[in-house]
Amino acid sequence: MKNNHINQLFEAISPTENQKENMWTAIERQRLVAHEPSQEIHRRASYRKILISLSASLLILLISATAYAAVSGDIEKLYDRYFNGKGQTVTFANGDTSHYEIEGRNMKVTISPHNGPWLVQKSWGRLIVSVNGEKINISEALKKKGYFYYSYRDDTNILHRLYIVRNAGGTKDYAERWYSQMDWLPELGMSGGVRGLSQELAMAIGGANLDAEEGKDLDAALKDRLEKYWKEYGN
Amino acid sequence: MDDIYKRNVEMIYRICFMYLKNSTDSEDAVQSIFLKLLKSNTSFADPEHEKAWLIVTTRNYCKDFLKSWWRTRKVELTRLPEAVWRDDNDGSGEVLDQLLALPDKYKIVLYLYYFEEYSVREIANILIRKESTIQTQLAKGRTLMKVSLGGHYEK
Repeated sequence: MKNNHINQLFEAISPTENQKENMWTAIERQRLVAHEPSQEIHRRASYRKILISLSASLLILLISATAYAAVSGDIEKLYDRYFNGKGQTVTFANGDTSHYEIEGRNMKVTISPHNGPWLVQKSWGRLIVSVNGEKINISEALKKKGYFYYSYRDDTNILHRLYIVRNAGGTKDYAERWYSQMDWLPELGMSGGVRGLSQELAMAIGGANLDAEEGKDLDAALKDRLEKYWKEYGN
Repeated sequence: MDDIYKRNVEMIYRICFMYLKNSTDSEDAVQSIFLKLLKSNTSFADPEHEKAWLIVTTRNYCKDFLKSWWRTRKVELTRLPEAVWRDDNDGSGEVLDQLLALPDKYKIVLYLYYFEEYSVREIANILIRKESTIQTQLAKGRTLMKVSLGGHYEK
């Protein structure tokens, strides 16, 4: 390697020995966690990556925070409203589970360690979603409208709205498939069970649900939000 | 795994830092990428294959991370996890900032070419781009660096 100026710059952003050791320790720790059925995870710096994987679950907190803050300007009240310090456990359509407790500013999260499966499978050229004991052909819906959603109540009476939506990223970049999966819980203000979901698409779906809560027809809201998303982020 | 980590951790961290521009997110990203490798049970033909896989995975992870809503929204919610941007070692200070400010597509090409000493053809294969594109990006990156560094870089 040449000792030129640009390489000196790259050398300057190398991790220290202490950093390398700490990262390795964290990797080992998380590797062990992943082999246990469920782990309680407190919000510490080393676990931030796991919290990031909860992004869609927390999306509604952020969206709702925006709406709620407009009224009260106080995000803690939002937390109290949804969690009341006692926590909430939800099981999403694909089997992912999340438990949240908010005590003051400390968030404690217990999550299932692995991402649940896709609920969409290909069968004879059709896309079939398996949800709530049903198998539904969503090929036409995705082709014509670009989205599909299905609402149901689970055994604990939590309302779910499962979304399968054509994404703009395609498969060549970061999206796993050309469509994405997201389970929205309208009454709890949470989402999860996501696969291949980008920030932009999550915000479009979340925004449409907020529009619907404010009285707009959900299909019309989805159409508006998704068309903007596809136009802005499409290939 | 220990060996793979030792062989590649510095390279992965540098790529992460170029994209994410802070040590906290870069450390998290390094952990995620190695956990992804563990989970994938990927086997490599040789260390070069291993290195190329890690470069692509790291780049994709960082791009994905930068697109994630968490990344973009957390800044607004300052009471949620901290947003740390420049708490890192001094390095070359202002000049380093100028390097980090370059568009990602130039930084990664410059890094692979100069620091990792890949050829244009090899970079094109790893990043799945045309050789002519890599050459153009390399030239553009050099020009930008020259402007930023006042002509201090060497070909």
